[in-house]
Amino acid sequence: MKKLSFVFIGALLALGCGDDDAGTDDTTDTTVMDDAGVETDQGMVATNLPSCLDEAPGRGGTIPGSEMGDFTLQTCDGEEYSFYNEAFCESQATVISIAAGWCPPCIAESMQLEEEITSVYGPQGVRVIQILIQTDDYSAPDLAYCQGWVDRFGLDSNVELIDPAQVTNRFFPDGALPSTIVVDSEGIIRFRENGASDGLTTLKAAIDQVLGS
Amino acid sequence: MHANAGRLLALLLLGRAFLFGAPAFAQEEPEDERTTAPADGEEASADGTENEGSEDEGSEDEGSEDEASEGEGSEDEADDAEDPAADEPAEDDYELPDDLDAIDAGEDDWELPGDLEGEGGSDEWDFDAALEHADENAPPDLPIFGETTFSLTSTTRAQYRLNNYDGNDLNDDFGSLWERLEVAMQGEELRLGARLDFFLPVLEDGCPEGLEESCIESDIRLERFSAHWDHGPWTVDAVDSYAVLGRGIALSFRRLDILGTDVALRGGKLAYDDSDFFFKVLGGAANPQNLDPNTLAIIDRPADQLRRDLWENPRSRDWVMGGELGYRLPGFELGAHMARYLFAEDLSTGFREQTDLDIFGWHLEAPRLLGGAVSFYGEANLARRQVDSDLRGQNSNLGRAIYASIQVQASERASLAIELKDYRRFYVADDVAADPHRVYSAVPDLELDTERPENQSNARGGRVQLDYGFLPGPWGISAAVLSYGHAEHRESDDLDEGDPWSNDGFWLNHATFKLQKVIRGEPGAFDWTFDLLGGYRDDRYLGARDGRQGGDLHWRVVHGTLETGIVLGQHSLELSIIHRQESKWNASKLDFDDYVRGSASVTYSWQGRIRGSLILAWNDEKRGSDVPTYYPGAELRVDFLDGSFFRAFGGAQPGGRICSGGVCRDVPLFVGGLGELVLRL
Repeated sequence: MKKLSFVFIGALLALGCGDDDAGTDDTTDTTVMDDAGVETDQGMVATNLPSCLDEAPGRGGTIPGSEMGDFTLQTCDGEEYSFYNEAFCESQATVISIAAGWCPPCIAESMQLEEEITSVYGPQGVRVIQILIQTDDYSAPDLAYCQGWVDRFGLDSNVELIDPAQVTNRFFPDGALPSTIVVDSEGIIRFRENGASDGLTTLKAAIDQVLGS
Repeated sequence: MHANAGRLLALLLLGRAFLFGAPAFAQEEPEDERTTAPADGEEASADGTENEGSEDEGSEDEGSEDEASEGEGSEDEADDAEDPAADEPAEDDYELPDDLDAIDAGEDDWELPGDLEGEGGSDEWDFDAALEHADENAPPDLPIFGETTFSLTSTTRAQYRLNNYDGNDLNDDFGSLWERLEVAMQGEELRLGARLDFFLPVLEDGCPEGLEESCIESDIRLERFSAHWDHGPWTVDAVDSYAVLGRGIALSFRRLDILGTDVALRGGKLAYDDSDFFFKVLGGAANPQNLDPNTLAIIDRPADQLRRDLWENPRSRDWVMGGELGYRLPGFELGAHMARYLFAEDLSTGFREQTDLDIFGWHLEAPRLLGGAVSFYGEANLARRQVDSDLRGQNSNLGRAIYASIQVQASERASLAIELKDYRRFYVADDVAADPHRVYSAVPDLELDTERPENQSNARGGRVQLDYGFLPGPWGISAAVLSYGHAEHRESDDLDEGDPWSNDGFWLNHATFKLQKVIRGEPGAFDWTFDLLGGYRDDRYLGARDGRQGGDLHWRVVHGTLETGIVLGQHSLELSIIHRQESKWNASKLDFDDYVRGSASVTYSWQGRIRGSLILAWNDEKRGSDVPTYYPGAELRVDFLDGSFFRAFGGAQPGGRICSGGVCRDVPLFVGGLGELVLRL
């Protein structure tokens, strides 16, 4: 199959199709190895187990009710950050917001998350992670862009990560951003909303429900 | 008198041709043109011509999509079914003059076929011979159905798709086979039809566990079954049918090929229409086509009602009941309608949300005022939405949709069209961001579909268009100006809130000018067409936000389209160039994104039956990404005599936002090849 693909791509490029890197963003190339050398697909990485987990999480699903799979991405200062870490063990819930620089609702929500979720729910054990998948001009974000994003919007408390290979794209299959997910302390996805939020009304209500349950 | 006799004779001959096979001149017509009638004649006419027209303008490629799925509707299949001799060797041993005016002129230099000539070779009809010939071709006479014809349309599409750059690598690099089988039997009053859809991905790597939502999957299902009974003023539809109330603002179950949406009402519909009084009642659940032809994903929301979960979870689908009634006076039609929607329970967030919507409206139509010089249509709708959410509690709000159009035929040469629209929080879906398969309204666009109109649910403004033809010459001009405010307001209990002209809205102005040369009548040995459209669109902030002040530019578009063609006998060559220069404010980088979109194509056609096109499209809207900028492609299409055709495409097509009939969606680009064969029997 792949051979046929390459033949076809070659034919198209010969006709002058697309950029030089057209057809090379196959994210399956982002397959990575965990510390134990176990290959995991989609860049969803099984990491060293945090203290609260007895066994490595599975691949996980994407819809509410399913288990959240693990991932490891970079923070703005280049450090690796896994979803299942000690911060997960200490939190009552985790809010994940997947955003892009070209997406105005993502920008609005970015600051709202800081002001209305992290500040208000942080003391109740809610961790907020924002993942940047693309820049203003749709290119892959780097560390400088990440830091610029933090500085520009004054984001001091959220965990800001970059996902240049879009390993988290499984959470927005229709391309609707931002994609907002709430994971409870058991690692179960309890809420997922794609697209512009209505002033975080539903997200706050979902967090309340998760914390109250 | 002589002319009338000639026309009568021509009609007789056409009737004969209809019964026994098309004569040579009729066969010159591209077969697909007669089969492009919308699926439901009633709905098609009621859908309004504006939407259909703008759909055509929306995409050059739409035609192929149309034709790919044509024949689905009862109208199409009825046409086919009523031509029982279409498969027979045509007895075309007679000739008609190319121009039927020749008959009027008494140029009777054409001949009747031998078996229809009267004794002695006179030009008188031998009706006994004609009736005998008709008996040989008569359709079978079945119980209940009476004289019955059968039709079968098979659409087979094989496709290989490479990366579609949607961020999901699990739906890339795979081949697929798509088969659509449509069968119908048409009796004197009763018609039955069914459609089977089959989709099989091949040459793909399989789907990792837990990622099923992102994968391409196989599917087979009886997508449609329809029963239609027509008896005098009464019509009854059962199971699947298209439906519309008024112009479709309050209710429209329809097919929009450019969007890849096809939604039928699964339930029942009873209608009565005599020359004065009409009414219609309908009810059932939405049955959207489950295969999305744009993405090749199987959309199982709401669940397909023909599967075993038919009644297991009735809140998993959208239900509707409604009706309309009206009365016609000479020159006027007055009608009222209502619809009640119970949208599917939304559990996608992990919490339950239930939305109900009630709409009441009325319309007034006066198609021939002032001796036919003026036509008017006006419709007003009031909507009440109730939401019961585990997360947001219970709330309700009101919305309205008012639309009016006036067309003035000032003279044989000049006409004026005016449209007015006032939409406030009016969207016939469970949410403004609803899947386009679940939008049950035909929104009267003021804007062209190519302009990707935003915030159609909250807009107020108007459009004026003036057309002038330099008759009897071939040239004509058209100028249009539209202006409206638009905004997006999802929640409010007060109808006066959320005004599209408020500070969080936009003010859109768009002017277009068109110069056109058409071919009137039959083309000569050499003829040519010319169509030049230019436009400027300007969208401005009404209040301060996104780093902008009120009055600042939000989006600017300069666009032009040139379409020209030459006809040389049976050969024709067409050139089409579309180019758009756009600047849109990027609230993230606090600067404008400047980008271009467009395409150029050259099409050669022989007799309208064989067409080959070379296409190059360009789009650098996402220039920072690895999405291609240039999209070369080639298409070949061959039409057969019975409406069947073969089409092949190889290359790339850009994706992006496409709009039609007030509904928009984002589609991924396409890189790959496909072959499609449509056979009609």
